[in-house]
Amino acid sequence: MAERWDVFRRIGERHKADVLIVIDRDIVDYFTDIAKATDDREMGGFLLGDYVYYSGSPKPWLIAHFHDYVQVPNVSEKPETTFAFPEESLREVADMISAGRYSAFTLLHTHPSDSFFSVEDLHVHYRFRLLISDVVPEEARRFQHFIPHFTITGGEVGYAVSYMDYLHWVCYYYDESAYLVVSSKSVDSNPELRRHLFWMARVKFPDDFEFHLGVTDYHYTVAKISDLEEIFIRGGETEDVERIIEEMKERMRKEIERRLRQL
Amino acid sequence: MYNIICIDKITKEWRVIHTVSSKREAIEWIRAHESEYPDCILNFVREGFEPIIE
Repeated sequence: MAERWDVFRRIGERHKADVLIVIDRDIVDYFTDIAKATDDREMGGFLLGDYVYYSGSPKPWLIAHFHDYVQVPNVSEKPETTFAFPEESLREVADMISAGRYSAFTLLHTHPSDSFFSVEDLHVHYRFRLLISDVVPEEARRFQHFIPHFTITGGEVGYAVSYMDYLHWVCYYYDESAYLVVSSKSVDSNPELRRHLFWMARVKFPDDFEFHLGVTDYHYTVAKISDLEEIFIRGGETEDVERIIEEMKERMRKEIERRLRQL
Repeated sequence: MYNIICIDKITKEWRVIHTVSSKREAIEWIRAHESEYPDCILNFVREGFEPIIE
């Protein structure tokens, strides 16, 4: 529905985001349960949705909304520490995209404890466009470098983390009654994490010099799952976003009344 | 293997205080020992991974 995109667009503009990534809360809830329950295996799947690209705005920007998912087996040789998806599941996703059911997709996997993305996770993201280039239609690959991957963690706290090598985006986790807006930050803001990634990239991928240079360019968002569960709303967001949604509802009501009058 | 970590409530610095072999053990260890670490937020993290401290 056009109204959905209008709400997202106005929220994105409020946050001066180049990229707004919207995730339905059902997806977070589903993978949180899995992350909490698992011990020695990472699990995951593809998030599926749609995007709108605003090329005519003062500056071009992108909204991607993920509202569906498919869980896929972890075919990694070390499933206890890394996640890898089977090629046939990528082909199934590509078929759904070709059929017009979705235009955007990304990868999500779980961590059984509250740990950041590993350097292997970043490498999958870094090479993702190459991995999908022969399988996924061009339409869904066009803006892939503006779409983060996700990790849901199942430790004592529980976090939803997204990461990509792009400067600034906003994650908007929402359902009808709760939402959480989280802005991205650089790994440079976390010296320990930066140091860890810097060295592990060289240890795990000694021949991928391009990746060595790129690994510290990553940015990420972190949201506490409990913030969603408690309908915690970051300071100052409530009235503005609720007002936008109420305005949209009012416009929809008037439009329905107008169409009814025409019958 | 999981490291049990103590996250300082004020400085947010963390250190490993114990190691266990499963997630269940980690959760049980924290429940049994959290009163001994009043200045810490206790959590567990897989060996080799960087904990999320927010």
